[in-house]
Amino acid sequence: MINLPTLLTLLALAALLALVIRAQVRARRAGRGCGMACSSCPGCPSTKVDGQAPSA
Amino acid sequence: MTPITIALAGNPNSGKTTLFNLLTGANQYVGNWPGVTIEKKEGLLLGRQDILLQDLPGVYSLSPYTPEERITRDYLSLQPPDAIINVVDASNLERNLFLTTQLLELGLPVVVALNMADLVEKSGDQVDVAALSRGLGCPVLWLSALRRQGAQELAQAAIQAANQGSQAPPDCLEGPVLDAVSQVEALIQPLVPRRLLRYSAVKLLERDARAVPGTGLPEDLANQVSGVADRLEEAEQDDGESLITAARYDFIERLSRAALTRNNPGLKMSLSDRIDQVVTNRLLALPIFALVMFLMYYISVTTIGSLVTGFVNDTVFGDWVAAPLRQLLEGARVAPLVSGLVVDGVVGGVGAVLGFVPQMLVLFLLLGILEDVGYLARVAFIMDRVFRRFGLSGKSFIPMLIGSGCSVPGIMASRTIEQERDRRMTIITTSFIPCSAKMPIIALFAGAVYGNSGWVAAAAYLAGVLAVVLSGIILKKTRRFAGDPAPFVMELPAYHLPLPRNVLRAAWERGWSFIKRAGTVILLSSVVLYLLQALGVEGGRLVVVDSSEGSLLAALGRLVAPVFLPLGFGEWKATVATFTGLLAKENIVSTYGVLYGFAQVAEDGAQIWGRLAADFTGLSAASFILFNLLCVPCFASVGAIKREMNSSGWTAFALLYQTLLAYSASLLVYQLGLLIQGQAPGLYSLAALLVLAASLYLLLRPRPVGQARRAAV
Repeated sequence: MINLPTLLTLLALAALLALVIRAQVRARRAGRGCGMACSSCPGCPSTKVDGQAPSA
Repeated sequence: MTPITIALAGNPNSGKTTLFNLLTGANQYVGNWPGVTIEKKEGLLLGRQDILLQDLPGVYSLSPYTPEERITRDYLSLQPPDAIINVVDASNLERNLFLTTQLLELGLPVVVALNMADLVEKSGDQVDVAALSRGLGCPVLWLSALRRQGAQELAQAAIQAANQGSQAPPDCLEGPVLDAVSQVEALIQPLVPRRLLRYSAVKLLERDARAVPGTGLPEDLANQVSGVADRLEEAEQDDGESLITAARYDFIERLSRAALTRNNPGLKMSLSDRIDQVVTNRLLALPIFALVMFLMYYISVTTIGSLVTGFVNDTVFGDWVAAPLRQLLEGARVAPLVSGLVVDGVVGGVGAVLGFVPQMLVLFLLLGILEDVGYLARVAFIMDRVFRRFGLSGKSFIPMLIGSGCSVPGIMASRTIEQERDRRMTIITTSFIPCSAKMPIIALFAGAVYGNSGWVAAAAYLAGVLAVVLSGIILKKTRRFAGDPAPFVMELPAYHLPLPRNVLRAAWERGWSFIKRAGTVILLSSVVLYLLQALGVEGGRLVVVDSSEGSLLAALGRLVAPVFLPLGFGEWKATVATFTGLLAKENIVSTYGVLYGFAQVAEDGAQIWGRLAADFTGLSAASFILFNLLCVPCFASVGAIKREMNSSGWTAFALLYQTLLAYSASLLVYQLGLLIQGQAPGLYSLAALLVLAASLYLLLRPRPVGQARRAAV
């Protein structure tokens, strides 16, 4: 039988993971590059407006 | 309400992004070398929601040769902004004005910003702004973007110009060239927007038909235009593009005579020239570069960085976080699997990576200083001499320099390379240079296996450069990559003292991105890894196992581990770490953090190092580091490779080549190392000797006959 502190810890951890996953999914849906959306890398698609990859 | 759009255009490294950041309050990356901005970036003017500023990649002219130059040209001609701020490096006025003469022909309001006013002032040269403004027929203002002077006045002038509409361009062209342009203008007038008439006529005379808006001219009209160009070229005995370029420079010369007074027209060596005499000296350049890189890694990994990392690992995560958290959870009688998940999984995995943040920050700080001073731009030139012998140019080294921070922007920076084959080769090889995420792996092994030797990080960097050079030799001998590298011309910025603001911002942003990854990708994979190493199947049931040796993770790792046996790390933990590294390379460190119970052992010192050292020998650690440095990079970089290659076939080739090279290099190091240590040869050493023979053949074979003949022609 699972005790209350264990349940609370699990819930807290699950909430943390859900937050992280939600942030990642939102960033990707918004097309913000690697999902970190920090824009710190030069040329990161998170700052991209209409930059296009060169055609092969 | 549609905002007023103002584009910042100018030569590379003229200070557009610095001005952009100043006007918008953005934090775009500013680098002291040409070609930092490879895509258009947008931001609102501070305090004005109705003014949109656009930072464009730097170009020398509107006759583009590289993809990012095409972005600027197409944007300005096809989606015109309401005004252009032409950022001009006033210390190189004549060359910068070439683009100005072309921008003025686009029929858009232009305001010229004479940037680097401080440098001009220092040199004692004088620019008559009024004369320049009269000659160009547009407002000209002083600017010192670095000192934050003149930016607001410039923005106001651009807004005013946008509201007033376009001005008539000055006639830069004269005589027969102007006559020919007028004839073409008359011919194409019905088909081309009035604004773009001069620009289109000039482009057609330059036989750059792709630059002309629209789908193309009807055949008869195209023939007539071509006839005008033919007659001009025949009469002047030169091609259209050269004639127009010469006419522009004649105009610029006349303008400079009227507006520029040089303090010392003779040849006087500047401080930058004197420094360059030493640091780019034919004999001294490479040893100085090697020394600089060694010192950079020595300071960041071995000395200062290591001291702070030790404190963060042992005290912050060990004493302050892990131990109290474990006590709290155990005191509350939380189930061992769950408390282990929190302390050993989350804190252990994330903490193992975060522990390396101080080393990262020191490395980024030093890298930022070297870049801001202007030294890294010189390195591209120094490396050009080396790379050229092996079929690559210095231009390929710039993506690699950027890649030493993160491979993703490094791979994207390969866009500045004109030749497709060289660009592909650069994309394939850029991730060989250790990125910042690989530094924790190197630092971990340097501490655990090599007694914190300062040589490990420098040797890893050297191995990366060597892999690039050897790949250059091997690939250039294949038909797909054959051909001489393009000439490398890059403007070297003057040396200046590093600006603390620039350096600290760059270091913090790179470090912050590292921290964010620890809180996202690393956190998630640490949780999954902990569960997989804590659970196992016993008697057909999923149970918590006593030792991770009987876990699901161990079973999965052991399935693949034999592949790495010839490389010296064919056990499940190293195999799992190698695969988790594909998510993000620093995940290798967090994997060891979870597997070796970082959070448990950190309480009493650096025991994680002892456990790691027990699993590796000096040789197998070298092989492991080498494999993980050279093999397929993280998924984000693979995505960048796919985007930039724009071809599934080439992407697959790149990944296959990287894996094969990594495997071969590690096999050679480990097996030949064993032979040197006196171990009796076995099957794997025979395989290594075969790989050695094949590598030597690929490196030393003559160029195929067809290629040699083509090169001779």
